[in-house]
Amino acid sequence: MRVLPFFALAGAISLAAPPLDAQTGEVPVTEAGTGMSPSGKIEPAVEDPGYPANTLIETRDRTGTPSSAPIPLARTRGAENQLAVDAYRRGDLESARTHWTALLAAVEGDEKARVLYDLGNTSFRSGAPLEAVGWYTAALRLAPRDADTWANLEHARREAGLEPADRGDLAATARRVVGALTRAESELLAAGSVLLWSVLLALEALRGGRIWRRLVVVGGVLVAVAFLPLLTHLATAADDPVLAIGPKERPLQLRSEPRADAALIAEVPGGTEMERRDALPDWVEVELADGTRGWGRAADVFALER
Amino acid sequence: MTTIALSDSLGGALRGPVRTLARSVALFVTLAVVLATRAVAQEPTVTAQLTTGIVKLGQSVGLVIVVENARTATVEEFPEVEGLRIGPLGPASTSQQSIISGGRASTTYSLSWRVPVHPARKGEFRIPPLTVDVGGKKLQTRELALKVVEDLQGEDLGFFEIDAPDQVAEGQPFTLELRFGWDAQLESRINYANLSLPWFNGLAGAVELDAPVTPPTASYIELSLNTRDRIRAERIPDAQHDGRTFQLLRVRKRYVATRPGKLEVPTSHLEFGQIDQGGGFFQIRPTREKETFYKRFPAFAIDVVQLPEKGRPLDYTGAVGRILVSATPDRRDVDVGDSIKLSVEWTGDANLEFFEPPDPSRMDTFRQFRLYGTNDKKSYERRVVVYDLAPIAPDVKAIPPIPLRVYDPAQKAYVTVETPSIPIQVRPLKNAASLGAEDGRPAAVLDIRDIRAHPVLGATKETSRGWLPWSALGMALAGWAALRGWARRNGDPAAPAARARRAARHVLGRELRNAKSASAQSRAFERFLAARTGETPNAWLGRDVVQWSEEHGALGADDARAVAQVVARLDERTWAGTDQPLDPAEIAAAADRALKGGL
Repeated sequence: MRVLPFFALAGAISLAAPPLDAQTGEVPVTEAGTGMSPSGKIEPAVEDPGYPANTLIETRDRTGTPSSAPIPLARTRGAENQLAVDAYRRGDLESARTHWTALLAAVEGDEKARVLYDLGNTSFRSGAPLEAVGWYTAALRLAPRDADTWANLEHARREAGLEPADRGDLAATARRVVGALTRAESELLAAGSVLLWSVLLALEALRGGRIWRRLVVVGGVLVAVAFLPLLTHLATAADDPVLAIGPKERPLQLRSEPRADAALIAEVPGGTEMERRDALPDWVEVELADGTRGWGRAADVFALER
Repeated sequence: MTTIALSDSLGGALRGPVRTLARSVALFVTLAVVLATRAVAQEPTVTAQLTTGIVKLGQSVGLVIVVENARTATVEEFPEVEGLRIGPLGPASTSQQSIISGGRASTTYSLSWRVPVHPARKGEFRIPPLTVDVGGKKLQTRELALKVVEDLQGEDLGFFEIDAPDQVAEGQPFTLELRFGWDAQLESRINYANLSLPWFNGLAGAVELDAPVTPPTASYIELSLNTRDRIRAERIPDAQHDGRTFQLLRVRKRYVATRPGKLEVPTSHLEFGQIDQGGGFFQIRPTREKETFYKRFPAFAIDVVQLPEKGRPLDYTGAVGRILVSATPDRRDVDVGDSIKLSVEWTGDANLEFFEPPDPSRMDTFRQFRLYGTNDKKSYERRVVVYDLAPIAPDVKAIPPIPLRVYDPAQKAYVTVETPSIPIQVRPLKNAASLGAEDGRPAAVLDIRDIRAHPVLGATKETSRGWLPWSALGMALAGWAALRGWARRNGDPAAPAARARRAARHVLGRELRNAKSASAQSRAFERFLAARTGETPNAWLGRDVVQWSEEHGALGADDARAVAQVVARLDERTWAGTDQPLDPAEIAAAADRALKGGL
């Protein structure tokens, strides 16, 4: 168990800092003593090799809006994670959420997907399955083949009264297969296929003949297939994707202007993906897939780009 | 309501996913059939019939053309029939039916023409299909038969009656019973009979159903129908009429009226008599009539009344007639969730094949049941639907009645025919308590997977290189085009000569391995040189290689001399008489040297 050193480190550095406001997601700097391992022994503070120490953390609130200024990280990210895990284990979900939210801004790639997954679990345990759907969906954008995230997403969607993300029909299966790669992986697959195709093209150019021409055509078809994931990413890419997380009985209401008394132009059921166009305090302007644009309450919108 | 026409054995054999799949397929097929039927019902249709199939010379016949589900149509030019004058075509009479059903109004239109047909001579005539243009779509009628005779004699020697109701309700099935025959004293003289029924197979406004079942002991006679088809008639006991004894036959047809209004049945004839069967040893004598009698049944109409809107229940599903119902469960003592196959059978004089059976899943009384599916079997005499029900609570004491709303034409009112309430016993699930937490053991439920406590080591942000695949694709295509152009500057690399040049060294090696004499080696080497230089092998016979190389600048002096030396040694052995082969390695070395030298 690599967690043991984190207990000591977290305990050592958590005494000086005040707690963080859960709504704003700012970095917490104090946490109740978790400086001992489960066996009660004080462990030496060891930096996790996966985290470089003392970088700046830019915090974001739940809608993904950056807070006022980056805050220097007063402890390692390994310790921050351990604080979150400890809080989660003892049922202090708000603290766990605060620590993981703070950590989120300082991690990348698969580690970010893991933190998003853990935040999804925190939201689910907090009784907010729609918000958990948002976290899991955000995690899948970074790690689209993660089985645990898929399982939890489907469970959260079921709890939230939404249709399954993967309905198991042919179209859903095709979407899942094509979307099983990240954008970067799709680009590498496409480039790799072109590289292999280049060999065939060169041989066709030098040798000519029916067989090589046919091989080039077959290779071209395979290249087209290899480009499918990338094309799907390009077709569905949104600059700033968000998810509607208004509950069924109170769905996200889109108004023509960012005022509560402005005309209601649409109601968006929870689980709908949209694109954020603009943001004001408490209000977010979103665009639906059919082109409808309107302003909704920021609290009912979940940013998927983290 | 889902209607699934699966036999009991098949239904019993299907289980689990297969059964679900079968239900889905059956549902899909049923929906498709229903939708197709609706689509067909809205399609324009054209029918044509004569007011009689047999007419006396000098009288005219009416040709009635009816176009349904269309507001405009044009009858195209009548076909020429020698001996008949058809027309002229007068203006069409139009009719419009507005039906309000379930709060929804629908209107159907129809057009009809009555065209006179004048026979100019006696004989049997065929009127070819008529073409009607309905909204640009060409529709054709069926071929019609008309017989023109000099005299319709024998009215009192024949018997012909058609039993039909005067009035039916829309959607109500009814039977036309034709009884016909001839004087029993004529029996020895009668050897043929023909029923002339112009309305047969084309009764506008009605759909033919399955014929009623006749007893298995019944005997039949096959006779002619409209002079071209055959029809089976059932023998029935002789009957007395006007002091004569008639040998009788019977034909029964069932129809269901599809629209309100008059259902016109044209004049029908029974034609019977004696014919010369023709034949002879060489079958040269044609069949001809010797003596023919005719018995006529006049045209009549059946009044089809519209179902009243007043008093129509909201859950009325189209049943018309007098219906009896019975219900039988396959078992009465079950556990909660166990399936009970409730077989409901509707019988009687009604449109049993056409109504939609009741759906218990939409009834409040079945709230404590789950309907897994239905199995629907239809015939003209009974409708059997097997409901697969499961009680979902132990306090269920009976299967509630299943009501069917029926329009009863006799009472001219809607009535409800319902199954009796069937007492059942539902037991709670055995060990049901152990599934809950009452015994202290927690119940197994679905839950999310746990958090991941450990950081992912070495995780880095994936860098998107959007330019990479597109630039790779561009470079590959551009490189291919450039390479292809360069390779084809000296001709097509796939041309036979180019391919032979590339393969020359490989071919030489293979031929040298197989060569057993110096002459064979010489021919192989000549083929190699020819393939590399694009010449014929004969061009290298007796050629001075050194001089040729100097003239063409093909090889260096040393390389040319090496090749010339091998050629000379091969010639020497070939023409010296021994034909002893040279060492193949020596020839191969000379070939390699020539290749390296630029050949």
